[in-house]
Amino acid sequence: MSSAVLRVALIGNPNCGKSALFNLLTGSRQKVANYPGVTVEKREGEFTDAKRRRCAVLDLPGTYSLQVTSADERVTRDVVIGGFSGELPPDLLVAVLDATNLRLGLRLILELKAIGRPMIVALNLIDLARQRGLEIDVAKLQLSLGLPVVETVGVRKRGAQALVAAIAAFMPEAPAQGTPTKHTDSAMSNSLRRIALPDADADSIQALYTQVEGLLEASVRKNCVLPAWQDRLDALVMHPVLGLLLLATVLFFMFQAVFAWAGPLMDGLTAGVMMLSDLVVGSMQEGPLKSLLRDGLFAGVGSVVVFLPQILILFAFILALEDSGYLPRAAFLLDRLMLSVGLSGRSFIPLLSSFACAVPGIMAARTITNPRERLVTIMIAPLMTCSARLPVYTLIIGAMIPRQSVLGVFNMQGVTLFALYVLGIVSSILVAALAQRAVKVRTAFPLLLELPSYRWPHPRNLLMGLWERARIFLRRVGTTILLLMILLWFLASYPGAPAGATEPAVYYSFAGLIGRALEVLFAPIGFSWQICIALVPGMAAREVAVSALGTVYALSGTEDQVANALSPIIASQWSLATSLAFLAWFVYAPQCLSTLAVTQRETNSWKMTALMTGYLFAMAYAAAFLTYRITLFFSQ
Amino acid sequence: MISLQLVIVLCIVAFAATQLALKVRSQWRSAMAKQKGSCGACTACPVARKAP
Repeated sequence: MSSAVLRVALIGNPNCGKSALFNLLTGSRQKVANYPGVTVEKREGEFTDAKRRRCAVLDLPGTYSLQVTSADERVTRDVVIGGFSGELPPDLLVAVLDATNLRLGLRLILELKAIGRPMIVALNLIDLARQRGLEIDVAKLQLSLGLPVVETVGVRKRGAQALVAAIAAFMPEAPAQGTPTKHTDSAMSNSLRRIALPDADADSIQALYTQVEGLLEASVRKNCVLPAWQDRLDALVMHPVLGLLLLATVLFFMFQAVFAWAGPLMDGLTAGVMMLSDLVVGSMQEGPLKSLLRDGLFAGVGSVVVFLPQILILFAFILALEDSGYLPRAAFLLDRLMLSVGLSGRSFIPLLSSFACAVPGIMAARTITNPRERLVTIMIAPLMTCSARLPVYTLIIGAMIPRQSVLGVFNMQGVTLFALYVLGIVSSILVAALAQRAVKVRTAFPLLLELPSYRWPHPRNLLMGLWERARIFLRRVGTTILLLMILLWFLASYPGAPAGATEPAVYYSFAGLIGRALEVLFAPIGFSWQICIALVPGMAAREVAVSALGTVYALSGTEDQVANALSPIIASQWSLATSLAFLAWFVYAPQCLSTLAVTQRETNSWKMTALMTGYLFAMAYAAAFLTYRITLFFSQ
Repeated sequence: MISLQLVIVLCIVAFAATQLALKVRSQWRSAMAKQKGSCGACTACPVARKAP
């Protein structure tokens, strides 16, 4: 039970800056971006005022109205009216109003006012609105609404001071022992019952908009005007042909940069890991502990750490695109293409989130109104190339694809990486087209998307986003991957080789037994027993396969080979056919338990989870088989 | 004769195995947990149309 004296909920239109305000108030690091639908579930944080009173803050998914159409909006409505899993409604609503788009925000505020909860209006993005010429009489707006109105700038350090002061006015003087946040017998009272919503017929909605017009007339002296360059840029970015070309160019440049810029940083990190390894194990006596540190920790875990620069470069691009306002335009651009396979531009944002990780992507599908469209989006989300695949792709590409330039400008390795991303996208389109026939997806709701204005990416958002990605990656390396590598090292080291053994010791180990058993199944697609060993821990997460290969080859190699990085070992021991088949396998294989778990949770269906696992493994095997056989045919 | 290195290694391996088992159990429970009280999307889930 929370010990906060007040529970405050932030509510407003999508992309009005609620999460930025939430971060500012609570010191949290919730994801913020310049497009609607980033927050799809409620999040809770806390802040303490000058008198040390604690206030709980809820960040809710954005909505245009309390008459909801999607699962994320329903969360917001239910929290506000007190129908959310037995929770009491919040003590205070903070309606966040985007000052650059007052009309839509005021409609929601009037609906909220009608339910009669205590409320403050936070006039957010006021700095941007003023830059665009908005002249607003805040006192008049406050008077007309009959609610306190405070100005806020969610992305500025002291941008929420007035809001904190306004919230403090609602806090009881003495801190309570604990405000119940769940319905209990003692807590139930008339005032805490579920609040009834106002009517939503056409006349009531029309009446709301008439009221909004009245409010705008009374309080706005001069309206916002978008700079002309934004319209000119939109004409290019959203042009049916030039826009698509621009999108392809942006993505292409992004993957080129991943290879071209990360090289020196990766070389530095590899050298650092080797130096540390020499320093730690160099003076140790030969024995199991030395082997665990050298072959399990440094060769295994170290081999995946070196991919951090590539992941950060990719995310720097994605975060910059998110913050600039370009992404929803790309969604609009792709709407027609996606309609042809039964989806709409609404699926674009969840699918795009899946490039970072399929888990938030699948959760973001809650913004999709049509249940079948949502289901198909969830099913194809794992085909988008997540960041966990990046270490696998770049390891193999770095080892097998020469660093030569294409057309004198492009880097061959970058082109290959781009092709793998495209393969994932094309496959998802094909699967969606097939699914459309099977479940007859017909999107009944046309795509209505509010296009945010363009802005320069905010350095604070970029740095916070990059720091968050680095933290997630390193935490995974330090927990799941480290634990798995310790276990794998044990399984790959014991029992030792019998007397007179001709193969390396790992061949006779427990892991070797598993690898050899699986080899029967995977030999037709060119996978050796070493690769089969790596696939097993790789089920936990894709990048674990890289660490596992590091450990397996370190244990099966000579001292000289161990001293080398994983890439040259692969270059010398794998054929081109095996390497390409391995890449094809990772484009499709659902080697991520978290994705399967979140699919089960979001669809509430084991059948759908099994279907997803089955079709992805089948596609992975088929693609790897074809790639292996075709490459063998042409190499002969 | 069991060496000190082997004893340390076995302890580390046992610790890693326990931590992994706990991690898997917690992820399993989180996946199986009814969404009641977490995000609320279950009662509204348009895919499954199942209440918790």
